[in-house]
Amino acid sequence: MLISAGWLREYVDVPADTAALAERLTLAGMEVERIQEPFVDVVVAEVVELRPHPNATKLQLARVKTGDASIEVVTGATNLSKGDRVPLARAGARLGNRTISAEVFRGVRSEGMLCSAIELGLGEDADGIMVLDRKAPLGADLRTLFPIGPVLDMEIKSNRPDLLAHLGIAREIAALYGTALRPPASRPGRALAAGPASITIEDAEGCRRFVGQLMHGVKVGPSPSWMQARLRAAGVRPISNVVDITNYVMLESGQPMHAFDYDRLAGGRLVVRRARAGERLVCLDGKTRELTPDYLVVADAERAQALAGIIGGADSAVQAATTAVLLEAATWEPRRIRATSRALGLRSEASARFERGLSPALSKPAVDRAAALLAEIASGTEVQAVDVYPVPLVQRAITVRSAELDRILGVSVPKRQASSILERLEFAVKSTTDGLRATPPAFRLDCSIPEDIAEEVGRIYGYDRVPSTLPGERRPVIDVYQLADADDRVRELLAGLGFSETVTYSFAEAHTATLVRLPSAPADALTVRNPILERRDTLRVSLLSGLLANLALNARQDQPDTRLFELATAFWGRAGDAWPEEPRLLAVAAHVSSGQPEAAAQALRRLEAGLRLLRQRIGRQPLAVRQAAVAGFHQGRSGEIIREGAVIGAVGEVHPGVLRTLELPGRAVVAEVLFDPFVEYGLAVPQASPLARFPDIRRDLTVIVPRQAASNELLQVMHEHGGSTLREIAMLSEYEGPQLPWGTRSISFRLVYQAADRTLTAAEVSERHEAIITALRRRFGADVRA
Amino acid sequence: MANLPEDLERLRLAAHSQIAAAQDPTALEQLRVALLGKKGTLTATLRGLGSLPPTERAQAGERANAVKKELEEAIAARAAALEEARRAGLAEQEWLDITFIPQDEGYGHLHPITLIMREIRAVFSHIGYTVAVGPEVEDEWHNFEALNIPAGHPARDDMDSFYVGSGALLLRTHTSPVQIRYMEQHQPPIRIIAPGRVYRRDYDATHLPQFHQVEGLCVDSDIRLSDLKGTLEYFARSIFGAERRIRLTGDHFPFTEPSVGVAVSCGICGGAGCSSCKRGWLEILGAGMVHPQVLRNGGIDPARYSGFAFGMGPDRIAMLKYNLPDIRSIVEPDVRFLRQF
Repeated sequence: MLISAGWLREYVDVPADTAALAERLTLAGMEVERIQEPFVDVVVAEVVELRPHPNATKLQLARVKTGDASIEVVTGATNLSKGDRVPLARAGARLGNRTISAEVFRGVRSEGMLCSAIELGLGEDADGIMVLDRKAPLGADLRTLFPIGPVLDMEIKSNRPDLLAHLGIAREIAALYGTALRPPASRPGRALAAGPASITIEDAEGCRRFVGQLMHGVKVGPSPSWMQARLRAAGVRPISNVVDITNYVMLESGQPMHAFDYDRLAGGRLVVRRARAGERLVCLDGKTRELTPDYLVVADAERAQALAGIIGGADSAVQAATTAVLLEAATWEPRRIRATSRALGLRSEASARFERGLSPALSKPAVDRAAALLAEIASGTEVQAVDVYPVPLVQRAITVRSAELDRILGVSVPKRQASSILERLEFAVKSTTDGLRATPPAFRLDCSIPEDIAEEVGRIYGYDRVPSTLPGERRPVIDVYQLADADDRVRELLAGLGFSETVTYSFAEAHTATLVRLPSAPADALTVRNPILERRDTLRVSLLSGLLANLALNARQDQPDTRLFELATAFWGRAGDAWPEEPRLLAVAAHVSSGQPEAAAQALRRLEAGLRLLRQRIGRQPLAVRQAAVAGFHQGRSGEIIREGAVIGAVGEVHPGVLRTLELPGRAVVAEVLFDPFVEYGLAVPQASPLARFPDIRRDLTVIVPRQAASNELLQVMHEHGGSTLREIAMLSEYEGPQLPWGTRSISFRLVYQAADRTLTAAEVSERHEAIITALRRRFGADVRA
Repeated sequence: MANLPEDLERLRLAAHSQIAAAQDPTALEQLRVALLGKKGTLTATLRGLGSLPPTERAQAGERANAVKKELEEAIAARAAALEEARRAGLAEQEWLDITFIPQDEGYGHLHPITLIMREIRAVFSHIGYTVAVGPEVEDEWHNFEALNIPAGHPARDDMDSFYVGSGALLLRTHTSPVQIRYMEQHQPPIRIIAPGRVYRRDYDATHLPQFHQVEGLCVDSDIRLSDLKGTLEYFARSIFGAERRIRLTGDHFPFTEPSVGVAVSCGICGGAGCSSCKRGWLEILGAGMVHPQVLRNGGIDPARYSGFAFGMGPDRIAMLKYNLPDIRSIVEPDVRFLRQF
């Protein structure tokens, strides 16, 4: 909302400079985003001499005087004659953000610039210099002739449509500074009930009040320059005196208005009704709009003449020849306006106000004000006033105890001061024994509970005067949350292991969303009905495709072999339940740009070692991996991560087909786990056990087994036969190559034997070790080299 | 063997020159063994003492032991000298360019959002707040209606939402529904923050359709606006620096009454006004006293309890604190960006 400070001064004195005023308004909830001065140091000058430019046919030299002194300026305008009074911007003057300086044009120095109306923001004429009234005093600051600036660009909160108006802002200023408000002289409309016009509300739910005023003898023409200047300052283009008056009243009071050419209304009557199916309306912007019964229209006896509260129709618009004008100020149901405005993609100054919920109390004074202006400026005569207002507004008093006010604000505002603040905001206030009763003014619909009163008092009193306290009574922490702790530790460990964290979109493309995922994830991703990112119209079931896409992006940026991770929510739809499951997933991915199988194997080993560290360090459990062909993975290089018999994750190399789809060259190794079970819900606490008092005995064991025998199966057999003294087995190394029979592989383990209560004998250990070897031979046909 | 003293003297002189000539500890050790070892020349000479007549034996023995001691000392001195020389030469021999620090790509980096979230959590945990979470897919009751935002309310325009599947569920547009969910499960005293992802149908230079929020809720008997101010002042000064100030301005949110906007003084201009701020202030969050109807919707009696709530955008806070170039850098996966954190 653009507010002209010059215009404000008609209604209120501002005992502060503009910057201080802006600060005060912002604190009170009316944010001033920008302060713009349309022109500074532009003065009235008179053309005393005109002569051609010696070096340019399209330029001339004008000697102008602002008093006794005269200067010469270069101008391209052709509309000047000697004796014209014109706006002169000398060097140092400002037009908007532009500072004027003396410049040389084709060899002649120009000491300033004569301004066109568009340069001053006072009109649209760009061709000629703006010629002022001959009575304009020489040397006078143009701001005294056009007192509109500075212009404040304000952001008004949605609950205060009454502030989308100069009078509304002036009222707040009066309340903030304790100065007097001077509303425009109101003249009650002449109560001429009988007349030719009739107004009927058929859709009472959509229209709360409709005030009309028929004027005869109107002479359409341009509005006076002061009014045009004010409209322009507020960002509204002047059209004609009748239209300008309706806009002026809206910018003054907040009530949007419309003016119909009465003679063009069929039957001389207006009906508020739902549009008929298939009905069309040519709107003021020249566009023809197809209407539906969801829309509310103002119609004459035959057809729609305006889209209620949004835009007028072209047919009944006021034109140059119009003499009979029917003014409208109505109160429309905000939701209907909002729905129609959204459906049509059409927002106007009027709809923006109506959809915030205007008070019906605004409409009558607005029509009266417009009628008075029409009489004054456009020779109109009031003929008939109509006011259809079936259920008048009743404002309820709000009772607030002083203690309650103090409690909410945390500062004690004296009752007399609170009353005074509310009265300046035009609340009707009565004192009670322990507080006050305040009835909101008729133009405010946003106050109904004591907290609303506290806000009014608080924001005018000043939140800067509220002290800073902390809740006084210390109470014990009532809940614990350790997941966040596990989150952070996992992140730190992964970073230490060389993985960088990314944040990617929850939105996924349908064709890649489920390419690679956990076995327990659903095969279909949930759809987003109204996506905004191109093609990302589903919610991800896995973080992996996003991570792989990020690896590809880095590879394209010449950052190969990137390692990334993400810890975030995925969305798993559930059959028969609208609510999806939202598992937190941890995904890690490493790019292997060489594409070599050995390099990928190495990267995978490293990644698994990392997972084991996370699982041990945070979950305090060993990492259990089972060889398995997981969908989306390299079928010979993937496995499931197991916890208590359930699959909680997958790890392996990515399937080459998936890589191709995601345009990632080389290979990639990844893992994804259900975060919470993987870290044992962040609740695992390390438990120390006594240090061994007796020495351990270590035996290395190398077995040659079929290539596809999985180590964890070998481990299982070793543990089964190792007895209670086999304390741990470490995987040392593996070998596959020409020194071994084809189709076999050797794996070396280190077995550690130890007893808690005695020193083991070599014979005892050998017996166990032999049992293990026998079992491995029997089960895997292993060739054992002890 | 009458010439034993002479032999001894010859041996002594020769040994001294050999010791002086030894250039490294190994050669010196070999020399020591050759002279003084079990089969060493001096040892052999000492053994020869037995063949002397008793009268000469005592004197010669004394002399031989003196020579042995003298040589042992000479060897030790030479060893010390050699060791000293070696140490003196170390700087030359083992010189290493300690300014050559090879690039190590082996470490990863945490995301700036993680860093700021961690800070925010830590700041609030010091004053007794715990972390609460809620689903990202929400229903309209928790996301809108329980927060005084009925269908058709203009506030919904600012929170255009994504709808999921065929039902009425949507991706939450703010973390405020966690307030309701938490109140449904807990009675006061309540002190929580709720960090998480939120979604709005906005995508332009300053908006991503997915961003982060941290919600805060404090409900207890006798909670006042001044408590809100104190809490947020503590927060802002902890995050941005103790010299910063905060400012409360009037604002409007459907779920708080009174509502305030909270700004922190600009760290660049110190509050004088510059291109990075609005006349010296940076808006960082919205807040207010929890609307009595919202308390009621959460199952809490507004006659007994009051509270405040606040919502902030950690993306913006991270941008301010870490000088991120723009909002899009939050979803920037380029490791060259990530390596800066």
